[in-house]
Amino acid sequence: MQFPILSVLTIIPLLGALFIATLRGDEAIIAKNARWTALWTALVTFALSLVLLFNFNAADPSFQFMERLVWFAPANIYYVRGVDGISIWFVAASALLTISAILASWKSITTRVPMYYMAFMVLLTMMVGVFSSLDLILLFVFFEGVLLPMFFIIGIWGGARRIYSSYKFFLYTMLGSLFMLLAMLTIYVQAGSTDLTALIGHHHLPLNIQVWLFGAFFLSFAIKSPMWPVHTWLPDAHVEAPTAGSVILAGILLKMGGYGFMRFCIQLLPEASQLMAPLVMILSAIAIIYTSLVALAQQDMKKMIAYSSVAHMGFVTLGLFSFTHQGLDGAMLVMLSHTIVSAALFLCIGFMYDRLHTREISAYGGLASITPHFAVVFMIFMLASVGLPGTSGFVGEFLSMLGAWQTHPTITAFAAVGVILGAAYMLRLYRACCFGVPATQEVRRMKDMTPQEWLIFAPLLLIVVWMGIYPTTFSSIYQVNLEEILNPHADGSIHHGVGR
Amino acid sequence: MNPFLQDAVVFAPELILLMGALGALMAGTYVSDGYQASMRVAYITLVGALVSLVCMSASGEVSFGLNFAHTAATQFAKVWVMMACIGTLMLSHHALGRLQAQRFEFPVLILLAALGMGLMISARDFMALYVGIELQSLALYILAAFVRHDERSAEAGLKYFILGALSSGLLLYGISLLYGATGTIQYEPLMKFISSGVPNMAVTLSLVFILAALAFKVSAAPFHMWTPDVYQGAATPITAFFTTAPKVAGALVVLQLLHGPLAGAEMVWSQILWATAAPSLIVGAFAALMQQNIKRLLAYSTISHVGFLLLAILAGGQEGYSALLTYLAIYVIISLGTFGAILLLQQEGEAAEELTDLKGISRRRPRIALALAILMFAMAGVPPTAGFLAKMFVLLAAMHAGYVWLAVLGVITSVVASYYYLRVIKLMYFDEPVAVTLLAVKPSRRLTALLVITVGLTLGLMLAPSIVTNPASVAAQSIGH
Repeated sequence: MQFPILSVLTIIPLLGALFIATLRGDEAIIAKNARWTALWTALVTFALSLVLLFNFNAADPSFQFMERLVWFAPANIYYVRGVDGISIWFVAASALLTISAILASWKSITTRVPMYYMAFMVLLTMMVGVFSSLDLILLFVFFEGVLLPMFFIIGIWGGARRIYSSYKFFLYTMLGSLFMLLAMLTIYVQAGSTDLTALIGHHHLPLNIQVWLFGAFFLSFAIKSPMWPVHTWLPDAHVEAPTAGSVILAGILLKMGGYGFMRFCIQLLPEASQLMAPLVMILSAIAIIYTSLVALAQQDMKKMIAYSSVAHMGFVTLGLFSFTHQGLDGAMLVMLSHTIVSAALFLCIGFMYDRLHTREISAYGGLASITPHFAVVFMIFMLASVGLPGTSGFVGEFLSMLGAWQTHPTITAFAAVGVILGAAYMLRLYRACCFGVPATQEVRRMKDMTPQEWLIFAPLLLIVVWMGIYPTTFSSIYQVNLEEILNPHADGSIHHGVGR
Repeated sequence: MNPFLQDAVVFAPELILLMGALGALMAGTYVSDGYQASMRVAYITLVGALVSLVCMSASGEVSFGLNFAHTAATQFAKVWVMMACIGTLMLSHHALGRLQAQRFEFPVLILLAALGMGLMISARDFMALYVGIELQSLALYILAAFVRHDERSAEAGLKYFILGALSSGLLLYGISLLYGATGTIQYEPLMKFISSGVPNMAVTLSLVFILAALAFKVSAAPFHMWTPDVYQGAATPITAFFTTAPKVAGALVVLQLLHGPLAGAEMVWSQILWATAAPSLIVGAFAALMQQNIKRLLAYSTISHVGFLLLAILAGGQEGYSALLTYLAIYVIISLGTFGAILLLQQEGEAAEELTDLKGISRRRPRIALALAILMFAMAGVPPTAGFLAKMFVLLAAMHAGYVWLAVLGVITSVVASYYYLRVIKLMYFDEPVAVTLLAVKPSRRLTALLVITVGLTLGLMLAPSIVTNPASVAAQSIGH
């Protein structure tokens, strides 16, 4: 048996959390050690995920780094881990953004510090678990487990309405995921297995059951991703969460919805997904236009980025349910780009909030001359969010619309309006913050980027530009998987290599 | 071998309990520090009964005519009844001391209740069942009123007694109707008589009475009204006892009756069970939202758990049986843990009576708060805790048996219920602490040990669920023929 790298990746952050729990001594020293422990743990996890990436065979469409143990003996439920080209990126992104999150909270979090970093470590374990589990029940455990640390992160270190928001976040997502559990149990009853490697492409459930299952999965992932009209938890959660919480929420947690659509709706229930595709695409187009308009009206920066996230995830579902290669490719790239860009934008807001303690757009102004370095960084991420060619945002949006156009041109035409609206609200935000006259004297006294902040932004900047100029680096890894999704019977022998 | 001795071997755990109860009574009466002595006797007795249970082979012997049976299922259930009893004793030391209720009758009553539950679980005859139920109920009535000088405890005991007597009457009435219709009260001949088809009116009526009485005993809605008052009035460790052991015994009785002698009347009892499972889920979730008292909250939480238990019984089949048994074991663990955490807080000088007493407790008592938070998540059925496993198996069995709408109801009420479990966590972690004077006491070693074990199991069962699921599925195979 090969080295169980995925299990190790999952356990390391948990060990980090346990280590932080054992820290003793003066409060300031505990805080300091907790920070460093968390940082090192996240760095090691990220390094391991890079090892994973370099050893990944992009030509092989099956799941790699497989691990399989018996979990529930009588029920034949297994502990199955493994990644393919789609999920491997999210594993790496989880670790990367956790590093950013830890660095971003270095100075801004001063109360109950060890617990804060423990929550982030547990969160990292759960995120890695979600993206690398191949058993339905195991995946559900991690999927639901994400809620616990996030509940604490929002509820303890959040803003004024943190309690309301944390409840809303927890209960909303739990409702969706419990229906997903029922769907998973139905699959188990029908197919006798919860092992994704045995299920995908091998068990064709009757269409009437598939449609019900699709409904349950769709509800869960629509809440998670989130889609209009079940997105209302997101703006609340984002506004109240601390900066680092928003970074993880927008960067990784929303992607669990997109990943779930791909894995469960499209791969596991292909017929039902085809059948429901028009409905999903219409919902996506509504989401894109409606939330863009709402974003345009926001006074709170975080709320605005939150609504823009809903719009971007609309492009993901638009591309996914087009069932074209370009559409799927675009959806993946939008997700990857949004992972970095939305996280970076929340970090930018965090930068401003740390200095002025307000998220009102109108409270700023003239940052281009006061904090020029920051203004440049902010501009690059803002343009990437708009989808300017040369940044990561462009390729994905373009491809997903290209794919969607081939199957549903009318819906895509509506969705394209969202691109314009997206430019409108992002430029409005940027103009109000960076140009014009400063709103108050405090704005004039704002300090520019510290070296530490450069350290947070630099890797994200690099990825955004890289993905904009040469997206093949990222997309080449999952191309064979996309082929596999679109033509599941092209090579029937593909999954047998990893069967029981 | 002498036939009596042969019977006695099968009956060993109950005999040990009986001897132990009498021994504890003697010790309490004649030893100078009667409470401590009888407590010690009770521990030894329970551990002895547990050992004898585990050592016995579970091959389905019957003894004393056809009146008692010993199967893998009864063994499993009795093991968890004993665990609950031992847990209760561990919980009770300091709490009873604080209430000035350290009297030697307490361990005696616990042992007698355990004996009654053992009889209930093993009974294969309605008379034996009734005797078992009454023995445990009488012990429970007295336990509810155990803190004599507290009005609320006395009220709880009286209320429990009057309503309990009513339900016992219903049970007897149902049994006599059944006897009138079939001419027998033994399970085995009954199974042949009620073999299949539409049962006649008398059997249907008797089923309604019997199930109503049993629903009262396990506090299933709509027969749950006594639960919050009794839970609140009784001393906290006694509430913990009410929450755990009688539910295990009661659920096993319902399971063995319905999937044993009454299996032929499934058409009738499935409707009755539906009509108690669904309200239990709903009442347990919605009525708890308004509660301010921790014990009342846990009472409603019990009702919602009982809803899940009934759902597992309704689903039936090997999956349903093993889901029920798994649920019971996990439920005993997390309930004992929850009460352990509350009592540990009280021992250290916290009020921990009303929910608001928990405000900001995570600052003062980080470890107990963490334990209680994990247990609350387990109660809500959120992974990665054992509570999730319990609910998952029940939902799986329900889906398998085709009770999709009840499963959906279970899921929705779980979300509603998780609101109040989250509220406990919110009070502990998100709210600012209120000022209290802390007692400089050493935390009780027994309570700490209990808490560590239960929380460890709550998380550890996720990694190695087979510790519980394997014996449960073995036990499940012995039910229903």
